[in-house]
Amino acid sequence: MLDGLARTVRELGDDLDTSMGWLEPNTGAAVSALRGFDSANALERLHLAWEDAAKGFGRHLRSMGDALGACARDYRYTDHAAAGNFAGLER
Amino acid sequence: MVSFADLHDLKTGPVRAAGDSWLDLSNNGARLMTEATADLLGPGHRSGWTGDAADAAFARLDKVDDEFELFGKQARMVSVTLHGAADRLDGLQRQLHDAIDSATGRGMRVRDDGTVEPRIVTSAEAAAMPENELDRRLQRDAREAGLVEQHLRDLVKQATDFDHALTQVLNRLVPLDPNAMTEGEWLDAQQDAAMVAALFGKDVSAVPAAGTNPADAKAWWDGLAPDDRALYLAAYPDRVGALDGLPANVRDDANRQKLRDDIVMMRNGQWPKDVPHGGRDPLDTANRLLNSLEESEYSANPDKRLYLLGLDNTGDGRAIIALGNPDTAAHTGVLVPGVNTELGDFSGQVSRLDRLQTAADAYNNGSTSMIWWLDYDAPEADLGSPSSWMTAVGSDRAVDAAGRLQNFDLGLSTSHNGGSTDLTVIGHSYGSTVVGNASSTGDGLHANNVIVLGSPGMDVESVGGLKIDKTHVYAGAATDDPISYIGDAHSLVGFLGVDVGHGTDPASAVFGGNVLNIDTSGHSGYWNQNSVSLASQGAIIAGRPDNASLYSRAS
Repeated sequence: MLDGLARTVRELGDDLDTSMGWLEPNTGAAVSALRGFDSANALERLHLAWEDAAKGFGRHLRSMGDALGACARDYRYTDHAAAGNFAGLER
Repeated sequence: MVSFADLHDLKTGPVRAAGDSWLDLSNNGARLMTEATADLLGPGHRSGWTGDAADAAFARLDKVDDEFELFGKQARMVSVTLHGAADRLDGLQRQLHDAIDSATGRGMRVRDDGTVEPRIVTSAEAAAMPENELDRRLQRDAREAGLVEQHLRDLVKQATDFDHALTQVLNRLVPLDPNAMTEGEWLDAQQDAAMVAALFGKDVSAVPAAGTNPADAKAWWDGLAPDDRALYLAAYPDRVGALDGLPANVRDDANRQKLRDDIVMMRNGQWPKDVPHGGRDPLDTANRLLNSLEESEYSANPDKRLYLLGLDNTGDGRAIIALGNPDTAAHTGVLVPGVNTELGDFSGQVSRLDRLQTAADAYNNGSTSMIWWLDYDAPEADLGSPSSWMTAVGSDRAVDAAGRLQNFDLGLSTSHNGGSTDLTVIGHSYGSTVVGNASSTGDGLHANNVIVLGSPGMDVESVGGLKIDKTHVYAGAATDDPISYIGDAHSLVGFLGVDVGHGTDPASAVFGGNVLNIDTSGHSGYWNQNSVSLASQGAIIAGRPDNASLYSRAS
């Protein structure tokens, strides 16, 4: 289950990165079209700030995915180790 | 500063296309929010994973859907801003080109810098004119050229002013903290949306007031362009969320935004310090409500999702909470609570909704929405303070609530996807007095059935005073429910010299409606699990009244 959650949260991060890429061509074209307008610079700054924020969020999601994956691995290791302890008992 | 050439040569198509891209991004944010809920948080919470690691993980995971939701909403505002900017600049540019065309058509020449040369008088024309006429003509043409030039300058000035305002708005739409979503961003997003609305002249006064006829509210909403819907919803959630007749998911969206805004204001000490009668901390209540709403999304059963259809955190607090979407449900029940109920009691009341929904679903395999309607100030009654009973004895609050309940119920039909809904209204305790007033005044309740339980009376003498067929009126009272005796006491008015009730006890045969068999005890046991009382309510809500257990039929 945890491996599934890890995969999902990583995919959400990747999907976010992909969708941010949709902005570049048209937003860049709008910045060019607004030549002479102060809002051109504002739009460019806005775009960059959103890219930064999305990158940070995407990284955060992938880190959560890694933590969930590590948690699943640790649970499995502990389970195997505990099983081994019981298997080693002799009477 | 925008120049004449900047406005003249501006291409707004790319600005509009950029707005479309941000709309795509917004829609994707909403999709990712749905996926996060359905594929991450729902399965995680339902998995049974517990312990310190689970607590630490969910403390972070539970924010993921919120972050995507906020991301989508903020991207939507960028989209609305760019679309609106393209429209506004298009309009100014069109006026500029029209003015140039008009001037050119009249023989003037508009230079590249926006200055205007008067019409040239040819030497042949000049020779044909009397001397005075030529002077007059030259002066008139120069005056006309000056007026055109001033008009062009005004248009460029308007573009410059708009550019300045647009720049300020775009600067505001930058995320507060690029590294993490903070709670304050919800309120910030609403304030940003209000700034976008102001930029385009979308004033709050355009939003119909609470209490507007649901058909009129729906017509207003349906008539809005998608960008305007998004804008009004984001900028004025308190106004949009209060409108009967709007889709449940829209009201829910608006009221959740309002709830988050209120929480931020409470945390920041910007909240009135009026403590509810129950003494609960409003911030604690608001946080519990938000958690309940979010947790309901993790259920695999969509009928268990909660919708916040109304909210007022001031005073004792008010709310309208639906379990299951009433716009798509085949059957809807509205529970109107009574004495001593305030917003802080919502969790126990939602448990009642859950039991009623389950009881109704036993007859129709699902598709029942149950609604807790606390859009009124329920009376307080402290058993240790007899004077406090006067508010429960009086009808003022029921009369005040009746119109709102009528409008809300009418709105349920207005917003229902099928055009109408099978509606049962249940009044408990003083809530039955509210239901009685709503059923007996104006156009009535617009309900298919009325159930009253533990009623102190409905402020009518008999079922004939209600604007609903008596065979669709049901009443029940536990034998040891002290509140229901108030209705009986009304018959002693001549003896006591004071009217202590709200009309004939509706659970008495003389009232004239159906009387339910009640097998529960006390004033609050009507929704006990596995009780006949609960099953009968479920049958009526589900449109299967023949399965309700009756003590006596309407006569």
